[in-house]
Amino acid sequence: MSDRPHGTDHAHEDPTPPDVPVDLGGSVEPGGSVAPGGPVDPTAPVDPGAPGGADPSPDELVAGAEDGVSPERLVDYLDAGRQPYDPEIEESPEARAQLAALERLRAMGARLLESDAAASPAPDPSWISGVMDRVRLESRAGRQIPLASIDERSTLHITEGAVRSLIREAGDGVEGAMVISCTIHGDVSVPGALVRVEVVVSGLFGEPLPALAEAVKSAVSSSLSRQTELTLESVDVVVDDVHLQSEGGAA
Amino acid sequence: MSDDDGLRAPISPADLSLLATELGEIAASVDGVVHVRARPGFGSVVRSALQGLSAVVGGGGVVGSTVQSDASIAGATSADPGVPASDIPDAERADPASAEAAAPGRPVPLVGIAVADLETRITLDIAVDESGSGPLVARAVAQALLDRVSGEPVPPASVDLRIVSVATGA
Amino acid sequence: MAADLTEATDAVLASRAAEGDERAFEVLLRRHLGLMTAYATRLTGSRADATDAVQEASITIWRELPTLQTPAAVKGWMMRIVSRKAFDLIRSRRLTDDVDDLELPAATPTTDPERRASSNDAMEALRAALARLPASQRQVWALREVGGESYTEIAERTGTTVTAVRGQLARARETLTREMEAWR
Repeated sequence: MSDRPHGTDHAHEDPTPPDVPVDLGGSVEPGGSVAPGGPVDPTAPVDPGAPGGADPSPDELVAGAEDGVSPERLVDYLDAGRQPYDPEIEESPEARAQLAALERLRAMGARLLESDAAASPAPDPSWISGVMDRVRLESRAGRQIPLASIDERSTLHITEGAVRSLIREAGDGVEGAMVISCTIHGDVSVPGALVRVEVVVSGLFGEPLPALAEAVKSAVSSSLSRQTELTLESVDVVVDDVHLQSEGGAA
Repeated sequence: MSDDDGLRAPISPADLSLLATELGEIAASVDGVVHVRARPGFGSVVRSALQGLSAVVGGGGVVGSTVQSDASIAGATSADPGVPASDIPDAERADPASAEAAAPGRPVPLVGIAVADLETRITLDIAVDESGSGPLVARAVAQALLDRVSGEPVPPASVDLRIVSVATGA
Repeated sequence: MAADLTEATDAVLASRAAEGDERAFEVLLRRHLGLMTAYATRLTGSRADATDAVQEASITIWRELPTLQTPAAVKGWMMRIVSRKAFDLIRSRRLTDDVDDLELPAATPTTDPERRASSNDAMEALRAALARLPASQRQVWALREVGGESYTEIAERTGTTVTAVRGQLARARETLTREMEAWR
C-alpha cells in the first residue's frame, strides 16, 4: 500500500505534464500588494516527462469520477493552466464542477499562510537580533586589499567587503539612487594595479538618469580615494532599474 | 618584566595576555577607530604560518565573552604545518576553538599576539569612521601598537591589521 | 538622505545581501518572517519547532544567497530553505514515518480564538480539515499547495518517490475538497 523510498526513480514516473513549482504569486513590492504570476526561480528542478498525455496512473488508489475523468487528471489539467483545451473535461458538467472545487481549494491554500501569519504574534525582537548576531559572525570579507604599510613586515589591508559597503553607502547617499550591486574588477592584491569598479543602481522615477549616474560616480570615486589606495581605471555606473517613491510608511 | 641589560626571561603568559588586552585598548583609542574586533581563525592561521611558536593569546572567540579555550600554549610547542587555515575565502566564521587562554574569568583579548622564534605577530581587525581616512588610521594604529610593544621581552614585532568595516555617522 | 531599504524590492535586497549588506538582509528577513514561520508551523505542527527551523533557515539563507541566480525569486527560494530545515527537524524528531494512512492527525492549533476571530469561516474550515488529515498527507499538501514546491522537491523532503507524493496529494485533495464542498 505504501511506497517505500528507493532513491530517484525517474524511469518509473508517469508521462504527465512537466512538474514545475506551483506559481503562488510574485515577490512583495513596496506597497504590500502581491503581484499575481510572479517570477519563478528557473533553477527550480523540473521533472523529466513528456508534455501532454494525461493518462491516469495505474498506481493511483483514488477512484475516478463517474464519467472516467480521474481527480489526478483534473489536477494535472489545472496545473497546466487548463491548456491545451480538453473537451472531455470542459464539456462534462461533473468534471467542470470538480475542477471548480479544486480551484477553490487551491486558491484557499495559496491564502492560508497569509491568514496564518496575520493571526500570529509578531516575532520576538531579541530573536531577530540573535539571528543577526550569528550573521555578523559570517561576514563576506572577500579579498584583502593592501594599504601602504609602516614597515617591511607589517601588513595593512582593507577587506573587499568593507569597500563594497563603502560603495553602497556612497551610492545610497545620492538623492534618488539606490545601489543594487557593485563589483571590483582587477587584481586588487597588487598595489597600484588598475581596477575598474562597476556599480548598478536603481533610480527614482522622474529623475534625470545621466545626472544621477554622474552623481553616483562622483560620490563613489571620492569615497574610494579617501578610504582606499586603489588605482581606479574607471567607475562605471549602470542604471538598471527604476523605483517609485512611496508616500511615507514601510511596504 | 625585567629591565636588565643581560638576557631577559621570556614574557610570561599572564603578562602576554595583559599586553594583548592593553593593545586592544590602545587601538580602540586611536582617533578614527570605531571598533576593534577579534580576527576569526587567528589561532589556526598562526599555528600553520609561524615557526617555533611558543605562545599565543587573544585574537579569537566570541567577542566580549569569557570563553575559555582549549590548550593555552605556554612554553614549548611545535607549530604544526599540517594544520590548515580555518578561514574560508568568502565567508569567515568566528571560531570559538581559536580563542586562546586568558586568566580564568577574564574576557579573551581582541588583539591576538603570537610569539615565535624570530617574530612577534600582532593581529587585529578594526572598524573605522567614514569621516576620517582609513589608510591613515590603519597606519596610526599599527605604529601605536609597535611603539607599545618595543621594550617588551619578545622577538621583533610586526602588525597584521585589517579594516573590516567603514562606519557612517548615522 | 540615504535610500530607504524598507522600500526596496525583494530583488534589490537579495542582491545587496548576497554581496554582504547585513542591513538589507535584515529587512528581507523581517519582511517575510511571518510567512516563513507560518509555513514552518504548518509543516512541523509546532510553533516552537517552527521558530527553530526558521532560525536555522535564516543562517542558511545568508550563507547561500550568493548562489541565487535570480534575486527576484528570493521569496520562493527562502520558503524552500525553510521547508528543508523544517523537514530536517521533523526527521530528527521522528514526527513522520513512511506514508501511512493510519497516522494520527497532528495537533495543529486550530481552536485559537484569536485566529477564529480574525479569519473567515472557510479558512477555519480548511484548517480544521487539514488538522484531521494524517500528518504525511498534510505535509505533502502544504508543500505543494502552500509552498508551491515541485514533486521532485517534495519527494526529496519526505524521503519518498514522486509517485508516492502524487498518491498522497490525491488522497489529501480528495478529502479536502469533499469536506470544503460539504461545508459550502
